[in-house]
Amino acid sequence: MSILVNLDAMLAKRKKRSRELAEYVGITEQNISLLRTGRVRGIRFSTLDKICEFLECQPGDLLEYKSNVDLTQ
Amino acid sequence: MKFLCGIALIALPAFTFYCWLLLDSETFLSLLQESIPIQTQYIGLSNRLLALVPGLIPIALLMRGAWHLRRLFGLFAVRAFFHEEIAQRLHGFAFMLVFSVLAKPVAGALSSAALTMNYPEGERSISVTIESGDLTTLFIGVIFLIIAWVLREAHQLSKENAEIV
Repeated sequence: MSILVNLDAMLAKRKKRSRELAEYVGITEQNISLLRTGRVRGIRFSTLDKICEFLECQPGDLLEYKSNVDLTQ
Repeated sequence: MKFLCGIALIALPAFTFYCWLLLDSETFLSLLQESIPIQTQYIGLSNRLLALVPGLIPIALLMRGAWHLRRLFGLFAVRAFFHEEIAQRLHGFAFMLVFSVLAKPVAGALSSAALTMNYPEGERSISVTIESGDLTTLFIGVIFLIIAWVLREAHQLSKENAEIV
């Protein structure tokens, strides 16, 4: 997968905990953890909307495209 | 239902062995006429034993089907309604049901040949019969196969959906 999820970095930047985020978004901490590690098939717009609202950021701050070549470097 | 399937697993072979080996010749022949219509007055035990072997094929397939059904109801009993195995077990049961219906005429033909193999030339016979009940069973089996396929697809969709947060 060439899409990287920068949720960890954004949480650290905003000094927020994943448990608080999970509570705000209304999903389990386990799902937040899966999202942070990028082990999900997709993300709903409603989830992305809530995350952006909570972290006061743009979707582009959370998701990043890197080609496979870049990932191996 | 799991218990009933367990009983069927024992009763199916027990009843088959009882009919083929222990019933008196007259009763056995009258029962046999429904599935394997042959013209005879007496059938020896050796012929019965030989004819029992192909006759067991559809029974064995039905037993395997009952085993799948038992496992299916076992999953329902523990409320595992969305378990991946549900579709597998239903598919297994339906497949065995269809296969047993298809095997029945072949087994019947082999059994009739075995029952009359000691008769003089001209009196030996091979009987192939398809009953309307078999066609109904075949239809039900195909319906269950389709339902199992739909369940498998639904499970795949639900699995994919669970990976979207």
